[in-house]
Amino acid sequence: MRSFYPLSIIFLLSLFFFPFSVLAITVEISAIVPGCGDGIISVGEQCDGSNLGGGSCTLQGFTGGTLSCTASCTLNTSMCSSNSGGGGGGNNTPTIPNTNVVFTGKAYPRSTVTLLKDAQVAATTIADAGANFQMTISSLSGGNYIFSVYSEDDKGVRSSLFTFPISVTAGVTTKIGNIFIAPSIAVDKSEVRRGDNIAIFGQSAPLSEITVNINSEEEFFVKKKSDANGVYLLNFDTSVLEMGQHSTKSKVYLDGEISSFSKVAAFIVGTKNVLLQSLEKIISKSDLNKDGKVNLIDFSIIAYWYKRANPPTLIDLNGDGKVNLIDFSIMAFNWTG
Amino acid sequence: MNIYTKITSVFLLISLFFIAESVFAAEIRLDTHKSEVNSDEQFSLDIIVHSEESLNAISGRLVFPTDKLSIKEIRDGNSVINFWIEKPHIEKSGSVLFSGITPGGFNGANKSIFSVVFEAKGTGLTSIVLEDLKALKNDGLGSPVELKLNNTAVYIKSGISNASEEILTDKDLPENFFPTIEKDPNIFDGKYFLVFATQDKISGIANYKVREGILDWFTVVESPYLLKDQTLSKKIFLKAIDKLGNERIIEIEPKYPPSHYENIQYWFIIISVLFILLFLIKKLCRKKNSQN
Repeated sequence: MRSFYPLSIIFLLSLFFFPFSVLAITVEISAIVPGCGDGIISVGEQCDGSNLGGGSCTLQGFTGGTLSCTASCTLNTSMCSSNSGGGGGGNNTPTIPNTNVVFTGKAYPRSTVTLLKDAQVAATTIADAGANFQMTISSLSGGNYIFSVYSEDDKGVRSSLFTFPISVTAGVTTKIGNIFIAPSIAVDKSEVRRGDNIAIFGQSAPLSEITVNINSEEEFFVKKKSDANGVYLLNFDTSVLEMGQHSTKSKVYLDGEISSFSKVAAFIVGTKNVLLQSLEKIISKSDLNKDGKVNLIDFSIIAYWYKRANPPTLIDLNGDGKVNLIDFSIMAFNWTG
Repeated sequence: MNIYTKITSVFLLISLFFIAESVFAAEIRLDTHKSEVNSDEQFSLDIIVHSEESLNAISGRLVFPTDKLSIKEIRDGNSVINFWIEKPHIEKSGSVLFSGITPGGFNGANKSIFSVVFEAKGTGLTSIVLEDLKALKNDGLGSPVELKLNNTAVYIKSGISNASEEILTDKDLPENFFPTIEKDPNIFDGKYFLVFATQDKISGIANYKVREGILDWFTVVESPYLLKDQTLSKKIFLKAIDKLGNERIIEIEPKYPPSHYENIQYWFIIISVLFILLFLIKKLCRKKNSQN
């Protein structure tokens, strides 16, 4: 019998390893495609796949069990349990309401609107033809959050991040309304010959009043009306601008609501016209891995080089030969999540 | 002093107040909630920011005398900072270093950066100050903002404290998160690495632990983490642990799982089954022999 001791050990080891192959839980890492099944909790969804939005049975008012997500992206509490309290007719009715935050506002007609929770993508949705959007995120913990919203226009130009710190109370639905995303903005030339026109364009809410600011020694403010698709275009005569570096930004006014200023688009008034090759260049500086997004991956790459000698020129965003807080600040400004 | 002189003085003081306010776009203050504590008493110090301008990066150093104060805990669970470049930590005796960013920026009043729970030792007036403080604007250039600093001082008196200890309760798990496996020529010589981050709104994240494959042990890691298994054939287990020990475990399936014949688990099972069969056959044979 003694010769069978090793066999027993092998058998026990097998029993030890076997459960790992049985209890495998898949964490899907996939591209973001709006809708149920993309792993992202979007408008009208309480959960998505394994993403329960931080939810648990206890947060749903039960005492234990396993919370899951249905194929239609609603929370499934059938495996949650409640202690009835040993007599007295306890029931399974949840006592703690869910903690939700509902976001409503205006972006651009039929544009993709992205919601970031503490700088990570929490939901995406598509705005309607009137540029209105609504998003809900569920099953949050109580505490302070920084939410940001941005949109992308029909040419792929992103708006600035609209950021708001919110203190969320557990068990309460918080509604954040009247979010007005700043217009997108771009210019057609990186350098314009003085006296020629520069096209300043972008998208915002339909039939709204756009104020375009051109930064110069003397600031210029020009008002334009966006069309039914929210598109605006200003052909600005540069003969009034002095030679050198300039920038432009815009904001929108509609029905008594006004947005913050957009991102800044820079251009030079010089002696020749240089057309911009690609609008994507606007954000490419902080997109270190060139995946079209500025997010935690780019943060990780720059963090690796923090305080290290001889960083690659691509990582050193302000070109001062070192990676420090300024480079992180530039990346944080260009963040997309 | 006649009435006109008084009015002029008040006007001048108010003007000076507004001038001072307009110079500083942001203020960082240290708040102990009390000016006097007993020796051996625990008290918390909050590092609070108030800013008219949108800020997206802050760094600095909290300095305190070690003969009068010792740190019991550092809390960053409810911080306005989303990603720490340097999580608040004791850099050297009497100094807590921190730096971090908030993508998209933040502004407004009374935003917490982090808190420190101190225990008072000795007696006397104790100053706690911020040094090398930097706050950068969310302007795409990383421009510094003019800061007004409000340091603090606490008087430690001898005597027995009636105040209870600063105890935090946290039953919530760290928030759900989605680690990703990446590869980039700019870091780790283009090898695969793991990127992850989550938050815990109550006690804050204490650390992350990773295990690659079932035969590995959990070890404390930071993001970005260079994977030991560059073949991506092993399942990865990543734990986020908050400061009160609540854990959330995320499992990442191998990108290139080994074939059945390469998987050590299957070989263990097959060999075990063979040995069991062999054992049963041998036992059966012995039984037959003894019967004969």
